Amino acid sequence: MKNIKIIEENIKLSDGLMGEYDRIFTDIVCYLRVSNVSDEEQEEIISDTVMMFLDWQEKGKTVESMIGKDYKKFTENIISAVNPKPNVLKTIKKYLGLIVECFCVIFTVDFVFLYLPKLIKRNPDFNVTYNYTSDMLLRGLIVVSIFLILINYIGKNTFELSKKHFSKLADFIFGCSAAVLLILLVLISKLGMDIVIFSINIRYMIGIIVVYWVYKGVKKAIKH
Amino acid sequence: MGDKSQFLRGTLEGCILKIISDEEVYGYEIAEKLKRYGLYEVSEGTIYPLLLRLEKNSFVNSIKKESALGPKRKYYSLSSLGKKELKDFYDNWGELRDSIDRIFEDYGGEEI
Repeated sequence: MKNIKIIEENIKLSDGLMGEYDRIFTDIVCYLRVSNVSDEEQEEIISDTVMMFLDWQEKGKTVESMIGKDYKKFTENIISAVNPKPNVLKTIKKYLGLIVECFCVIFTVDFVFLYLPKLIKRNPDFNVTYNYTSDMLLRGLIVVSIFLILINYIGKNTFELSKKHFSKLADFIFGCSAAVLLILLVLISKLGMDIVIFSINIRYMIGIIVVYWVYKGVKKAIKH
Repeated sequence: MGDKSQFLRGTLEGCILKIISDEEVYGYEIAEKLKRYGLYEVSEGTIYPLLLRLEKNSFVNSIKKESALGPKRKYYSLSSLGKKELKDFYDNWGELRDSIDRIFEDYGGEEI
């Protein structure tokens, strides 16, 4: 509960940061998020940082004059000062949470594209069985893996990435990669590897999806 | 070798503890006081990780207070553990300073 209060306060305070202050602060937060620092300590550090940045902004002191040019080194100094011990259980919990969230989003997409048209056609007849098949699982695993790799990559390289100006060729390659991934995901569903892993009545799947989105909505409402 | 920041690395925490022992202060004030004593290259950004370490080791306590001019500020005060740490630092510093002084007793700072 205390953590939620700090998160709320940090969001509110960070809205007051402008330009360079906001950009560097965001990079520091991204780098901290993928570190071993516990959630509670992360919020404490973010709270201290946002207060310092606001103070410097108020006094007209540049971030560079206060922490030097190497913002990554500054953040690493902070992390080593906290001396986080890798906590396997917390890491598993964190990644499990992300995986569950990803799968809930994938369930929603699958439901909207595969089952919702059927339900509408049958003029709400809920006697439909939801089959979770091996190709759906494979697609899910690919999406979750890419999502986790991207999050970690962006977090670990946030300082370098925010300085980089991507060329049109780089943008084109990124676009092509995304297109190839989409085609791959569609092809997987056409491979005919549709071994049913579990079957439930569509009502239960709708229940799971509704509970997830209501939970997301409430969480967002609390934050704001 | 003659880099001032290298000398400072091991002693800055002790200096910060001394400043905090005088009165309750916030990060920017600590940096300003250090500058007044001649440590011009020290900024609030440099000392924040040190303050974090001191707080983590329970040498200092902190409290957030509203500021009349801008955002809240985190004020630091010395804990009883911090007082002991400050005393240990000062004793060690004294011994080291005496030893170095003895080594340099007959050195006149010759021109090269």
